[in-house]
Parts: sequence; structure tokens; C-alpha cells
Amino acid sequence: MIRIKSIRKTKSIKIHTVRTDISRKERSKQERMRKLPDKNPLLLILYLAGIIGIMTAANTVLNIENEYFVAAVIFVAVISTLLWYVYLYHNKYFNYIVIPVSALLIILIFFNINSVMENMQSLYSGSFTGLSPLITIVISYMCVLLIFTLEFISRNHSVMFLICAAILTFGPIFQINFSPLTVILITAFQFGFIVLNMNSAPSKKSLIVKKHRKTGFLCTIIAAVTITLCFLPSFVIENIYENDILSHVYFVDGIIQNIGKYFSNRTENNIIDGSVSRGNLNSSGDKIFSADLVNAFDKNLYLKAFTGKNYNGNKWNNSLEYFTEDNGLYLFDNTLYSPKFYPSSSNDPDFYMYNSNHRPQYYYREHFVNNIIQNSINNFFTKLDNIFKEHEIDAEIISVTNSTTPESSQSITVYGTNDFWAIISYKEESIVYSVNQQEAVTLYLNFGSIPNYPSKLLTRSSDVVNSIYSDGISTESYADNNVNRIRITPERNKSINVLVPYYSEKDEGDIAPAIPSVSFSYDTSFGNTETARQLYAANKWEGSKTYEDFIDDYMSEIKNEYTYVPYQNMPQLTRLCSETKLTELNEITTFILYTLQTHASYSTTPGNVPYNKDTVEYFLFENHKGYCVHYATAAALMYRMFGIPSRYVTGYTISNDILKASDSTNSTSSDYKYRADVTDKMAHAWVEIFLKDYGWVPVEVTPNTNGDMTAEYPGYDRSEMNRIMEKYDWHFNKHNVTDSDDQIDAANSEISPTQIMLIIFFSLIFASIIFLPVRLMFVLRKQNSIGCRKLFDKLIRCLHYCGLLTGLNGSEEHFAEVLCHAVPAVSSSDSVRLVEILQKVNFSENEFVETEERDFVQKIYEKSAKYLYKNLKWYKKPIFRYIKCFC
Amino acid sequence: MRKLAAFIIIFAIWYFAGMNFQPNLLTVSVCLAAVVIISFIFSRIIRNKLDVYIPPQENLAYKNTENSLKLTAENKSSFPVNRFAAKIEMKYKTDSKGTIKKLSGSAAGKNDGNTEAEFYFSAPYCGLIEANIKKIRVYDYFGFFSNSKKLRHEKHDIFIVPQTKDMKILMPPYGTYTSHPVADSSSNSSGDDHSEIRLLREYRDGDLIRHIHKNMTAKTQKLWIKEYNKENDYIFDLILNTSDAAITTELLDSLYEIVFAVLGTLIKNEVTVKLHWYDKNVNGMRNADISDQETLLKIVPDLYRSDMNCTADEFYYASGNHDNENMMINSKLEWYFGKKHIYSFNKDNIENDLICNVFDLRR
Repeated sequence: MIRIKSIRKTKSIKIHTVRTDISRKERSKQERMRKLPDKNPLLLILYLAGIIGIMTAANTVLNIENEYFVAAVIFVAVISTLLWYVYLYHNKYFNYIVIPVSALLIILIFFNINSVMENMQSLYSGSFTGLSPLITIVISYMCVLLIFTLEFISRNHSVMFLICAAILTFGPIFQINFSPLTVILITAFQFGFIVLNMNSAPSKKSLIVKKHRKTGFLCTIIAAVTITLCFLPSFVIENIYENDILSHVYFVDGIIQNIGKYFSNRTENNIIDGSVSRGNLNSSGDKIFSADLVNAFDKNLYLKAFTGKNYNGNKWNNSLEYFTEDNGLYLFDNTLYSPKFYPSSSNDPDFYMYNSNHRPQYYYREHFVNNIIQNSINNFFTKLDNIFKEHEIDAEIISVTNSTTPESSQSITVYGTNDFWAIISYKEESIVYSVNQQEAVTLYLNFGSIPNYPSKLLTRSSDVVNSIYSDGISTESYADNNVNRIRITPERNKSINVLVPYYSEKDEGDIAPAIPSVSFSYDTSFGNTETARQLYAANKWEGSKTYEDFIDDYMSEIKNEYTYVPYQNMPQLTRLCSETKLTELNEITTFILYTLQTHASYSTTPGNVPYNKDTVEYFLFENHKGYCVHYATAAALMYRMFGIPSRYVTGYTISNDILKASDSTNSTSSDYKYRADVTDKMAHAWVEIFLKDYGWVPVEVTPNTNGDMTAEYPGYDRSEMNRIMEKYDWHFNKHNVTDSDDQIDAANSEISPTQIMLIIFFSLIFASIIFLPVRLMFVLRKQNSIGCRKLFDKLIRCLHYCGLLTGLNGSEEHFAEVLCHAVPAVSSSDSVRLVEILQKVNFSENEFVETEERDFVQKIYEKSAKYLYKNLKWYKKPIFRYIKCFC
Repeated sequence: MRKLAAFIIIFAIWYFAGMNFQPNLLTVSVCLAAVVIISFIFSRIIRNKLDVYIPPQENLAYKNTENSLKLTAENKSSFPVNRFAAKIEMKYKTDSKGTIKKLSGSAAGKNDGNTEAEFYFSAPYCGLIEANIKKIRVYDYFGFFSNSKKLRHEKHDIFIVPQTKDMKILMPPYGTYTSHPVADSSSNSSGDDHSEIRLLREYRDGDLIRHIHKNMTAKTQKLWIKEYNKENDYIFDLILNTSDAAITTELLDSLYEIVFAVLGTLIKNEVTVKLHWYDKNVNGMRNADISDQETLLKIVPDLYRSDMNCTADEFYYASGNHDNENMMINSKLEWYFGKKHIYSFNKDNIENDLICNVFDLRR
């Protein structure tokens, strides 16, 4: 018996798009042929457009010389075309050609590895001048091959689509301005391939379409026309409504930033932390804190939160000042109590009061911090122990243990018997722990912060504390006209930086953010030299130094500390300042204001600063738009370039118009009669300069809403500014200033209306170049199915356009004569027959004629149209062909 | 996903172009947004204009072989359709669920006529397959949007027949089982002296030499063949008894396999078979005379479209003729000839059973 293997039944109907009942060899051949893209020249054109687009985009960065760039483009285009031709028309030889060529080039590279290494090294060292020809050829070939493989062999456009999208998207971030040609080429490549791949890319789901392979071609044409037709109104809309579009972008940016702020639980505006924002200022309007005041005030009240010392990398470092000992007298930078200087206590000469980062009542031990900075972490504890011994502090380090609180820190336990306080920072900018010596205490040290921000061991002497209150502003004197009192209460669940008014002392509460409120008394007699002088003179100065000596020492110190400028990052600003020879402070201030006024306009939506640009340079010399942080940064740096010590300061500005009478029922103290609700919109940045007898004084360099500069400080006011302006013949460029924060500066638009019209005109021509041939193609296709009467109408139109019907008397016989006379290619017998057919058409039902007769009419029409077109003048030909007669 | 990616990219270009003030790219993003809107409108327009259906075509196919089925995409719009996806369902009539597959293609504009496409299928069972395009989805030129449309075309029937199998049947002697009026059919195979010459025709390859009409050939110098009016000795009644069984696709497949193999073999043995089966649609038996391959295939639509579900009583009363001499194949896959049990087929190994066994119809 013959055994036949039973065929295993499959349980469902199998549907395939290719035959599966053929041999494996045949199937693989069919698959290969199926995967081959259409021999559609559009694919090649789009591919070349993409490659050239990417090359021009790269050239925007590399700035290759024109001849080399053109040569490279030609080389790449030739290679691409060859690959395309071989792959599509001689597919079986493709591997035999490409693999040896690739191998040969790799071998060549291998033998020239030294040259490659030199190029790499020069690229790394920054002395890169260009690639060697061989490497250029190999890299170009490899890139072309890679893209070709993606697009034509694997038929996967998504990779190149994403690369192109990344180029277009991330180019602006690095301020790479792509030319319109680049954008058009890349966009055409991106979307053209999508259309063609959708139509013809093989997949397991693709049906075998037996007819109309040109559908893909037509679809691409239609897609191109759609994009072109969309591009034109888009261009007009973009130019007319650019500001509206940008405002929408900025609105979205605001939403994104506020969402980020919400999730990061950040309360305050990012300008508070010293970073010079690279984007728009998006304020949510949320209330940050409330300020209760005893008295109202006239001028704006500045609350300091941050003092910037060094500007680098678009960010200001926090100011941490310490100064050298000089004959037992210690200078300290008292930000809060500026310009108060306190002598060190005679009982405790090594300690003096220090207030860093606006945190009052702490005493800074200079040697200790210096030692921490100067030495590594490894010998930190030895140094600490030595310091204890040196200063006879009855304290010893018991152990160093890992601790979980505060996080990322280690603790040391210190025993002390003296009146000894210690405070250690555990975060870069905040102090968290203070101890008394009465019992063993644990000090938390943040080792990670030491290199940049020295941990501070801060000690306090009760004598010095007393002296502060006895010599400083009395807490009882706020009823005096010159003294006001402010209490700052953060909004619930919101942590804020410590905010301190100028010329103030802390009265009550703590500065830690967790504490509900803190109050200060501050001197309102800002600018009164005598008040300050008397205040300092009242202090008992140690040793032989006088107050004047003290000031001089301090001023010489700050000249070293507050004049740093990263000149290498801002060549244009450096050149501007170096070209202006000024020495007098008021003149320098006026020049700075003048420069800011003429180079920039105020806007809270200046857009993003490219990552490869310095914020100040971009603000002043490219974008010309910015807000307070940009103004203050530019001004602080310009002061420094002129040799004036200056500081960048951020905080809040409270204007008197937001003051309202305090609700006595809710107020915890009836002393506070006024209240201001401060929102993040009031966050502000300004500049401080140091004035003798006044200390660090704020200078407002941001224009007000009218665009006016309102900078004032002791010895400088508006009249002084005007005097200097006249002296140097400087004039403010008023029109360059916008009135509102929310308005985009339309004056900065770089395209004039004439240019817009020209661009529209040329775009229309460009669109016509694409649209009209497509329309002609459709019309010609339709022509094969239209009736005799319409054909005759078209013929009449052709003759009329060429001016050949002027002598026609209207009779049909005469028309035959005119036709054969005007178009010698049409014989008289043909003309007569044409007229007869037309008569038949006109007098028959439903325009019935024989097919042969209809074809005859079409033939006569085509013959006539061709003849007429050929003999037309050149400027009439396009209208004849594409608009009037379609031939 | 493509739509989402495109939206993200357009948004990113718009956002970064705006934030970094790049008018060129801002224009591109606005342009792309406009293209998206137009694409949406376009996809709805071309969806309404496109129709995909299965045109009339050869609907006989063989089991377990690859068969092709054509589709026609009729686009009433001048704009071509870059891509459409058709949801095709193929299921056996007796099954509740079938195979659904999405296939994609493109369609030309109306000026270029209808677009034809085809796909392949293989059927595991004999029986009636109903092919139907349930839904089409039409994409715009960029693939941003797609719109679907339900189609309500009539189902296209495909009749899956088994492949020809040669059974070894030992036939009873001539004249033994002629219980019906003689069927009149032309044949030249017997060469029987009792038959009359029906017509003369020219010689064709395969004709027997002994049937050459010598006189006529000599006269005309052409080969002429005598065709006889033959009396067919073998006329069998084959009854399909499908009573008292759930008619499933698998059962029908087995039955059809057996019936077609038996019929095919009998035809080759010059037997005329009268096939009888129950059809609930006519509430009675249906009959068909099968004398050759052509008539065998002709009965397939009627046979396959019949509803064979019936009880034993229904079948008994409907069949009427209870002649014991009939041949019968029942739903238990048992083959009887007269009262003689010929063979019981195993549904899992029918093909082996059919090919490898010798079936003796002799008494």
C-alpha cells in the first residue's frame, strides 16, 4: 500500500498578499523585486533634495567655502544617482559593486589612518581647518550609502524623517539660521517620501495593484501642490500676524514653565536664584508673601534675596565674602546692614559679626573658612582641630559618622564649654543648624559643598550681639520718621528665600523659611550721608584705624572681589566699553543707561537665548530684547569693565501703589498699618554699586513702563543724567522701547513690507511653476473625452488669442477659409470637413457624431494649436500654453 | 503613532522656531499645520468617493491550494487615493467567524478607470466561503488622518472543491444496476455494434483508430470518426444523507471530499450518477445528473448553497425513493451501495482512506 502523508488541516483561511505556493528561490526573487521601489524619478529627486538639504544645513554651521561645497554637492549627487540607477535597473549587480567599493574605501582609510588621526586631533584641539579630500570622499560616500540604504533598500523613512525633524527643531536652539532653500529641501524630502512610501512601500498588508503605477507620482504631485499652496498663505499669515503667533508661542511656553514649576514645587520666579534666564519671564501672578509695614513709603522698597558675585556661564554665583585681618580689625561685608561696619569685640578679637547671604546675627570666623577653602577635605578635620586649639575653644571632634539627617551630609560631634555657637550649612545657600555650647552638639557638614561654598563654622559672642543692638538701629525707634518696620510672612506652604530690606536689622522671628514670619527694622533715610557717618562714627573702633581707614580698606578689597568679568565670552561688550574712555562714576552710569536704552527694549518675552551664545551679548547685540535680569547683568558687567565694583542683586520690588490698609482684625500686631501682597510678578533684578559712606546702594537700570531710565543714587539723579547726555551728545532712542511687557516688539521685524511683497510675488511665481504644468496635465488628459463643440470652442479661443479672427465675417464658410489661411498645416479640405462636422454637431441631438469625426476635430485642434504656439511671440507662449489654450 | 509623532514634530518646530525667532521655520510650522487641516478635510472627501468591492470572477477554487481573488477600487473622485486599507472577511458559510485581514492599496482617480488589485488565499476545507469587504479606511496623502467607511456589498461566494482523487473502485458488471431510464449521451467509447452512429466528425487526438469511418475517410482524404448513440449501462443514484447530524464545516469538508472523489472516479468509469441531497431551502430533495467533470462542477453552487440540516424523518419523507439499490453516503461518513456497507471513512484521514483503499461495489 502506498502511504501518503496526510495534509495537516489548518483551521482558518489564510490570506496573503504574495503567492506562497512557489519555490523558495522564486519567492525570494519575488520578494526582492517587490521590495524594489518604483522607478519613479521623483524618488530620486526627493532623495537628492534631502541630501542636499542636509548638506546645506550642515554648511550653515561648518561654513565651507563655496567651491568646495558645490564640488561636494555634485559628488554626492552623482554618487546618489549612480546608486539609484544600479539598484533599480541592475539590482543583481548592486551588491557586487557597492561592497567592493566600500571595502576599497575602508582599506584606503586604513592605509591613511595617520591622516585621519591628525584630523581627529585637530578637531579635538580646536585647530581644525578642514577634512582631507580622501576622508571627505569616504565620509560623503558612507553617509550617502547609509541614507540610500535607509530610504531605498530598507524602505524605512522614519529614521531620516526624525533626523530631518531634529535638524529643523534643534537648529533654532543653537541659533542656526537655516536658509529658506534648506528648509524647503528638507521639508520636501521629509513629506515627499512619506507620500511615496505610503503608496508603494512593501508590507505584508500591501495588495498587489495591477494598474496605475503612476498613482504614487500623482499623489506626490498633489501633496507638493498642497504644501506649496499652504506655504503661500502661511508665509503671508506669518508675516502679518507674526506677533500674534509669537504671543501664542510664548503663551504655550508660559503654560509649560508653570507646569514645570508646579511639579518641581518651585515657588519663586527663577530670576531669584541668580540665573540669568535664557527664556521668557513667565510669571504666574501667584502671591508669594505678604509684607506688613508700620509706615507707608514713597519710593519703591527693595527686598534683597540674592547677591551675585561672579558672572559665568549665564549664572551669577552667590556672594560669599570674607576679608583679611588687618591689625585686629575685621571688615565684613554686611549685606543687610550695609554700610555698617562693626569692630570686633575686644573680648573676643578673633570673632566678628558676619552676615552672609542676608542671614543676620551670625559671626563669621574668617581663618577657619579660609582654611577650609584652601585645603582639601582630607585634612579638614585636622584643620578643624587645630583651629579649636588655636582659639582655645574647648571642643573636640569625637566622631565622624554618617547621618541621615540632614541628607547627604556627615556629622561631627563637638563638645564646647565656652559661649560658643556653631552653624554649619548643609545646602549651598542655607544655614540650618545652630548650637550653643552647653551640651554636646552635632554639627552637620556638607562636604560636597565645600569646594565651591565653604561650610561655615559661625560663632557668636554675646557681647557683640549686644553691641549690635546698642550701636545699631534701635528696635524701639521705628516710630521715628527715618525708621520703618516690615514683617514678611510667606504664603502658606511656600518656601521663599530670605528677603531683607536695605539698611535693616532683624527684629524678631527667624530667617529660616519654615518660620512663619520675620520682621526687620530698616532705615528709610537712604541717601543721607550724615546718618550713616554718624552711625559709624558712634562705633568704637579697635586699634589705630579710623572709620576712613576702614572704608578705604574695604573699598580696596572689593575692587578685587567685584570686578571680575568673563571677557572672553563677551567680545562685543568688551569692545564697546574699551572704546569709551570714562572714569567718573556718574558718566559711566549714564553711558550704561544710554547703552541699554539704545541697544535694547524691554520685553518679558525676548524668546530663548541660543545655547551657544552668552545671554548678555545676545541681549545687547542680537536680540535687543530682554527684561530686568538682562538689564541688571549687562549693567553690572559694564560697571566692572569700567573698574567700578558692582553686584548683581535680585529680590522683590514693592511699589507704594500696592500698599493697602491692613486688616486690623487679622493682624497679629496693631503696629503694622499697611500690607502689600507680593506676587512673583514683582520679582526684580537690579545692580548695586559701592559708595563711600553709603555702602552698597541699589541702582535701577531697567526702564520703567514708559521706557524711561529712573536710576538714582546719592549724587546722581535725572538732571545729572541729562547734563551728561548733553555733554556727550547722547540721545535715547525712544522708539526702541516697548510700553508693555506683553507686547512683542514689532519694530524689530527685519522684513520690510516691500520685501514681503517681493517674497509673495516670487512665491506666486514659484507656485505657478509647479501648479500650471500639473493643471495642464489634467486638462490635456480631460481633453481626450470632451466633445466636438468644446474642442471647437478651444480652437476659436486659440485663434482669437493669436489675433487671427479679426477679419471673420461670421459665416461658417468664411471660417474654413480663415482657418486654412491662418494655419497652413490645416488643408482647405480639412477646414471644410471640420465645419461640416460642426454643423452636424450643432443640428444633431446630444451632439452625436461618429468617433472618427470627433477624433478628426481633435486632430485639427491639436495641429492648429501646435502651429499657433510655435509661431507665437515668446512672451505670449506661457499664457497660450498654460492659461488660455492648453496645448 | 505617526499622527502623534507628526503633531509633536510640528509643535516642536513651531515652539522652538517661535522661542528662538526663526521666521522660516515658523512659516514651515504654520504651513504644516495648514497641511494637517487640509489633509483632514481631504481624507473625508476622498473617503466618500471611494468604493472597494469584489468584482464577478471565477469563484471555484481548490482546497489547500493558493487561489487569487481580485478586488476593484472604484474612485469617483479625480484625485487618486494614495492609500486605503480594506478589511476583508472570509468565512465559511457554516462558521460564525472567519478570517479578517486588513489589506492596503492605492486607487487611481476616476479618469484612469478602476484600479484592480488582488490577493491570495488558501482554504483548509471544502465548502462555501463568503468573502466580504466589511470596511475601508482611506488615508490622506501624508498619512495624518484616515477615515473609515462601512461597505454593504453583497457577499462574494467562493466554492472550495477538493482536488481530484483517483479511487480504486471495483465496478459491478454491466447492466446489473440500471434501474433508471437510460440517459442519452454521446460517446464514442464503446464501439458497440448495437449502437447507432449519431454523427461523423473529424479526427481528434485521442480518438480510437477503430472508430475511423473508413469509407468516408477514403472518399474525402480526411480522417472521420464515428460517434455513436450509446446506452449507458451504469446509472447510479447517490444519496447524501445528512440527517441527524450537526452540519459543521469539518463534516461538510469530509462529505464533499468523499462525494467528489466517488463522483470523479465513477465519471471516469463512464457512470452517470444521479446525486440527491436534502435542501431545507426547498424543503425537499434536490437532484442532479452528473456524467462528466463539467456537470460535476456545475452542481457545486447548488450543492454548496443548500442547507442540509435535517432530521431523519424530514430526510425520509423528502427522499421518497427508498430503493435499496441506491448508493448512499451518510453523515457518519459511511458509504453504502445497496445494502452493502462499502467503507466507513475516518474523518481525520479521509484522503488516505480514499486513495489507499480498494472499494468493491460488486455483489
